[in-house]
Amino acid sequence: MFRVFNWQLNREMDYPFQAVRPNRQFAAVFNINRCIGCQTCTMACKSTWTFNKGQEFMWWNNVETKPYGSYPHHWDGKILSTLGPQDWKGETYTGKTIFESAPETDVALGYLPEDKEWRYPNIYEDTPPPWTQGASLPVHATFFFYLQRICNHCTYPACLASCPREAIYKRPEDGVVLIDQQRCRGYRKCVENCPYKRPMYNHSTRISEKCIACYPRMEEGYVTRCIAACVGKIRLQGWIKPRNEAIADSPIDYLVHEAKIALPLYPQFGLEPNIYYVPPRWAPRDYLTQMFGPGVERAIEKYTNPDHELLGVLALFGATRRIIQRFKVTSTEAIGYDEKGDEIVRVPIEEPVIIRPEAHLNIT
Amino acid sequence: MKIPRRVFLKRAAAAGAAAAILGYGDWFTFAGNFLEPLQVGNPFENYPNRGWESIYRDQYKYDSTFTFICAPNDTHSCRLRAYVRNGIIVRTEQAYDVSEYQDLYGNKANAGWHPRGCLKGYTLARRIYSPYRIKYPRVRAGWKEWVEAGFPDSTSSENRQRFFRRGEDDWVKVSWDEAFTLVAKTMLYQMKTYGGTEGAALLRAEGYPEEMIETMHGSGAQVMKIRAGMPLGGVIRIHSLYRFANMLALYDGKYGARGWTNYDWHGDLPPGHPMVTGVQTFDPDHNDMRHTRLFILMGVNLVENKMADSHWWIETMERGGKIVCIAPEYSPASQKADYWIPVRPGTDGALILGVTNLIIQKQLYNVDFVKRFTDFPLLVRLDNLKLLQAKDIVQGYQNATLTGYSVKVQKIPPELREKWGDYVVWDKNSNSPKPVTREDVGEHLGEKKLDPALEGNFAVNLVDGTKVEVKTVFQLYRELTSEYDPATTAEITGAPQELIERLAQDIGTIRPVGIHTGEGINHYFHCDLTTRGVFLWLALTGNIGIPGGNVAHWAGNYKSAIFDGLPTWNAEDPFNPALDPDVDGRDIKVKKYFKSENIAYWNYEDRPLIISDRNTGERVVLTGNSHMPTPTKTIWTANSNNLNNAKWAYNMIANVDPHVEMVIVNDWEWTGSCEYADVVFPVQSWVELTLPEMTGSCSNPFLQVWKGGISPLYDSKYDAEVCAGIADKLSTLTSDERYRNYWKFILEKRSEVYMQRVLDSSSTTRGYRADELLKSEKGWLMMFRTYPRIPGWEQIHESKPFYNKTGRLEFYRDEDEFIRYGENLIVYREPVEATPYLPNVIVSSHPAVRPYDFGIPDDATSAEDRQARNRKLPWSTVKGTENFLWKNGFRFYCLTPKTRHSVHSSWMVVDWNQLWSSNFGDPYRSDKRSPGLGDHQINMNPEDAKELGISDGDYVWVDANPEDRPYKGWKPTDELYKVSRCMLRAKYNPAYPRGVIMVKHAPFMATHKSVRAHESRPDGRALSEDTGYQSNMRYGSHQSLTRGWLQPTMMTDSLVRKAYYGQTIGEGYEPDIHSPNTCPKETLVRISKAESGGPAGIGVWEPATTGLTPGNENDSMRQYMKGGFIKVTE
Repeated sequence: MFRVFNWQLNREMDYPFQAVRPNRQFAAVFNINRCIGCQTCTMACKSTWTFNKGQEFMWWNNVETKPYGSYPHHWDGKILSTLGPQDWKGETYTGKTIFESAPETDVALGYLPEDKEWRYPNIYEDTPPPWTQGASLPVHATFFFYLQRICNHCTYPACLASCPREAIYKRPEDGVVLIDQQRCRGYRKCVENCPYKRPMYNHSTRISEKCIACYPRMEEGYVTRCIAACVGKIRLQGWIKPRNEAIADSPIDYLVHEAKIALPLYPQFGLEPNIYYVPPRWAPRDYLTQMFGPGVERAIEKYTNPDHELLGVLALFGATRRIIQRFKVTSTEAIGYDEKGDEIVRVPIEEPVIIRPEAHLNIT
Repeated sequence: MKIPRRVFLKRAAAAGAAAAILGYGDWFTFAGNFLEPLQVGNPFENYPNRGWESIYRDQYKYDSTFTFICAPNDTHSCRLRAYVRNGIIVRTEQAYDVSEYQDLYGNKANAGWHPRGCLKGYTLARRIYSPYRIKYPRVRAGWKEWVEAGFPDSTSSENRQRFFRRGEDDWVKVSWDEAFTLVAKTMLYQMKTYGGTEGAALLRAEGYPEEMIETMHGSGAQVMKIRAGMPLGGVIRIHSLYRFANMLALYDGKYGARGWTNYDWHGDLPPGHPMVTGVQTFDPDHNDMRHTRLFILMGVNLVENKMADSHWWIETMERGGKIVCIAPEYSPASQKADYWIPVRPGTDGALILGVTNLIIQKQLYNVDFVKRFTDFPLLVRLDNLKLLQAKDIVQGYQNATLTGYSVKVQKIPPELREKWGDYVVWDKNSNSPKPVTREDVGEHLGEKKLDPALEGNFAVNLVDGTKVEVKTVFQLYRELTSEYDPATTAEITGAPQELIERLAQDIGTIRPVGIHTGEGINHYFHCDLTTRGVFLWLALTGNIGIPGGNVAHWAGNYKSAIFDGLPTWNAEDPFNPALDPDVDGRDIKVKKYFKSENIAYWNYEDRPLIISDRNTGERVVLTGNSHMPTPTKTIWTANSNNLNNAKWAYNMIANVDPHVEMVIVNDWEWTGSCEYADVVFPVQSWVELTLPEMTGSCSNPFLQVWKGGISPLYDSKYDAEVCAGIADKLSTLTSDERYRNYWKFILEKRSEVYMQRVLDSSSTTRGYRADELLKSEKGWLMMFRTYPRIPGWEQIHESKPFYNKTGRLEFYRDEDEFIRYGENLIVYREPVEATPYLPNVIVSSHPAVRPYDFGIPDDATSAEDRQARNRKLPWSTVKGTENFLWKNGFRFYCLTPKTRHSVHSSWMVVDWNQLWSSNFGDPYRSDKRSPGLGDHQINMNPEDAKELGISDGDYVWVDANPEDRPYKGWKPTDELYKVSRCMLRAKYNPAYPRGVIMVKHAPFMATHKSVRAHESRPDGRALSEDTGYQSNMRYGSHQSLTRGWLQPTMMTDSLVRKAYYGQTIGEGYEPDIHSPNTCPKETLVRISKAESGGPAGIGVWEPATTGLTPGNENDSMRQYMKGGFIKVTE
């Protein structure tokens, strides 16, 4: 066991490897408020990577409706109840991670889903708790929201830590976590121990697979298929640094560390996942805190009352399919730059109104 | 981490298979390479075996790309990029190119529009390469026999049994030439047989009403109904069907075929918009939603629909604005709202009046705007309920000469201008009544030095010496809405009183306000009242025609009129066609020989609305003359799943289509419409188009021209080539060259000639060159007056009149029909079927509402009677009445919205979409009862379900009014009854209140053959044996629950409105503008258990036994939902 620092938990924790942070870490922000549950991201991924034999049930990207929806069934409720009630004190996690709660013979606390739990990927879409006669902010009396999930390419992956063959690794150049498709033997310890249930077992090839962060695109400077696909403009891809090394004009660092509107998914599991969520402004805070940790109220308050700079960064979501390394917000525009410093995209913050000569008509 | 050796070796053996797949040949080579432990060291630092990563890089590779427009009926026309490998489209992605779109002035769009394209664009390749593609032309065996036998009498039951067994007959593969010949011969036969007095006699003998025969004017072509389905999606290739209808006038020189419309029939048209503004629909481009600060959704789900542009309004929550959602259920749109107001389905009209009452009582209205732009100050005579005309009070009054917009841009026939006259206001300056014209609007009112009174009761002297009492329209509304105080409104609608009050306050104080409506209100009989009514809120507060301030209605990509020169293509004079390819589009001679007609009449059993006036014994035709349909003997549709999406679909099969002699369908995939057709033509999809095509949108300003990028699959043609082929055959059979001349440039494969003519003659596109647009491989900007296009902008900013009689936003309708039906004022009426109370009752006690009831008693139950009965009662009485259906146990409202997973029926049977569109999506079909890869589901409140003994996941029967559903004359022993009785799978969903269920609309219906397959195949798939048709339903369709309706207020001959294309103002029927709207939510249903959801029909569906599902939560689930697994202390 090694001691590593997990900035999301604001403490050190046990981890089976001497984890080293990559030179750059792939990260993204998903704004749940904007999500329309359209599954365009889901189909983008499916049509690129998982359309082969043995992959029929696989959806490396999925969007589930909380609280009743889950793919695989009830993955989060199951690990939460196995882990048991845990605590935060302020912004420090005082509870146990899944590594710290691991049984004797294992690396982490986990379970292996049965085949039937992978059926019905969109179970209970658009389904809330009991109907109420109306709802209004700050918290809707009944609710549901969409939770979009890909592999979190964690800083401290449970899959990597569990593999008996050490066939899972993290790329130093971008932090992408990969299951070596040559060396995997299909033991499925990764499937068992990933609390987010992102590795999936292909019963035709008999090896496990998972989201690869579309690295063939990333290597060319393009965002992943699911992120490019997002027509709701909820996703922004970039790079993240730990809190004490945040870069002011790096969009993900800005959103996560400065504006603090984007939070990790179930940080209490201890993996330091790298997909960050803007929590939905209408959902019950206790449920959201269980999912995203402390910081929910602050995130919602800031997101719904953004200053001009934040409004500009929000305008960059979905503006381009290239990875934005740095941003700048002027009084009228938001601009994204690539790693060479060249301008990739420019978008107005307010939508203009253009008037043409009188010969043209609005009502034809 | 230790694995027992035997397990290791067993798995290693299994991995041999993997080895072969990964190209290592045999197990030993593989083992030799890898049985030696690899020293990985730290997998965070230097993983020693990264060569395998080439696998995914190789999988990602592609040879080339091309862009095309994904153009189903969702209005977005997104440009997508297709990635091609070995000639196959392996995947698609949004083009991210809108920031490059510009117009001829150099104005550009911006990256705020990115990206455009949804999940369906990403699964499009599954449709292109689907097993359901039609591979070659097919004709039904019996129909072919009928044609070859020389068209024996199609009305005899013997011949129907022999030749017209649609749905059960065999199919024959034919060549295109043979198909064209069969169709052309049949057309010639029909034009001859049903023309003239002999034709009229035949039709009379068959029982068609005289009005339908008279309106044929002896022209046999008028029995053919040709439907260009949602044609804006294919300006050239789909509109070609209307061109074909026009061409048929060559036969007798009088009329072509009838052109069936789309937007009105489907319940997309908001009939109230032309009633207020004269304009078809008043919607802006979607980027205008960015400007709204109070965004109201009423009966519309802009989360699950309009997905390409939803962000423009959802971002309101980031920009200091408010979102309000009005809907019966906690919907995906309710989720986004600042507050959600629940309402009883169909009662939005009452909410509208309740909020209007508050706006008036609390003086939240903008006096100046109302005086200058609305008819509120106009005086209404209380004797005859007509608007007071200047000629009524001024001796020898001459109508003012109009000099402005009314004559410079708008075109008003002089006889209509004479008829309309000028109106009168009570001028406060002189304390007397004064005339106003349609041009005295906006700042021009001030020029006349008039200060109209907004409210009041006055007496005026008529020219004949009598005195008459008058009130302003505003005064009438103040009085009318006073009955809709907050408490009463809350009682009628079920909306909480404080939310009604909050909404009124917000509308009155936040600016700009935008209200967006959709099928949730429009699929009720009185959609004209609700879509008129929403204008009240915005007109009173001055939120019309400004950025972010507008009434918008979203349904269908109907706005072909954005190409106002389109008639140069679809209505070119077939007697004077331009055969020179270089003619300027403006010089094309346009003459529309084909009359448009609403399919709603076919859907009403091929009849208009005729009732018996019990007071007089008279036969009354409530369908206006200008609307009158003709008998239907041919149906030809393209780009539409006509039968599948028809309300009352099984009644069409059972009782209506037996009278139809030829049913032709153009499609890519075999659909329910094909199952019951006679001729099926395979046509090209958007990625295969061999000729250029053009489209635009009602919800964005983009002009798109494209061509396919892969070769057509199978033997498919460009739709316009199908038309050209039949025309060519007509020329051969008649020796009349004019038929094929009319298609010269299609036959020469030069569709861009016709495209250029449309571009030349449209005010929005003149100056663009088709070849340049095509070569650019990107979109361009349509040139409207504003970007975004904001309807009413010119009226409000430049004081130009609206397209109606008064030139103002009109809230008073003084046409005879409206007065007669009790709708001169916007009243609230209970639905015609989906109500617990007296169907169709007008809930009011105001004396200026004077409906004529035709003597129809309250206990009359037929659809005809309910549609016609105009009964006025106050709410206090109404709430004690009971709908006969409600009394008989039909007590569930049935909502049928469109799903995000398909575009109506398109994509419904794509495997990936099916897996996501229900609770039951399973690629391995572990339950063999599933008709495909999932089940069509019914969303029910768990308490309702439990009360009926229905468990989550059970199969249920859903039944509607047995008098006519699923079809008239049904018997439980009929085979068609088995096919058509609606079976769905239950999904517990607490989003819906008690008494409301929801079924997503447009599944692929069950057919004779799909049911036969479902019941006989060992795997249970509902896959027709010979046609390969895949149904989404085990039995029935959601259209088993719906029927056709005709609204008297939508069939007048007197409503004033702008014509479809261009600036002419006319009256009466206008296609897709003033015409009935069939309203599929007008139904009440009964639900009963059919089969248990558990495996093999025993017990409960497995997931519902876990304690983790709605209505069956265990303690752990409850703890999870409360966030009970985390505690935060400071």
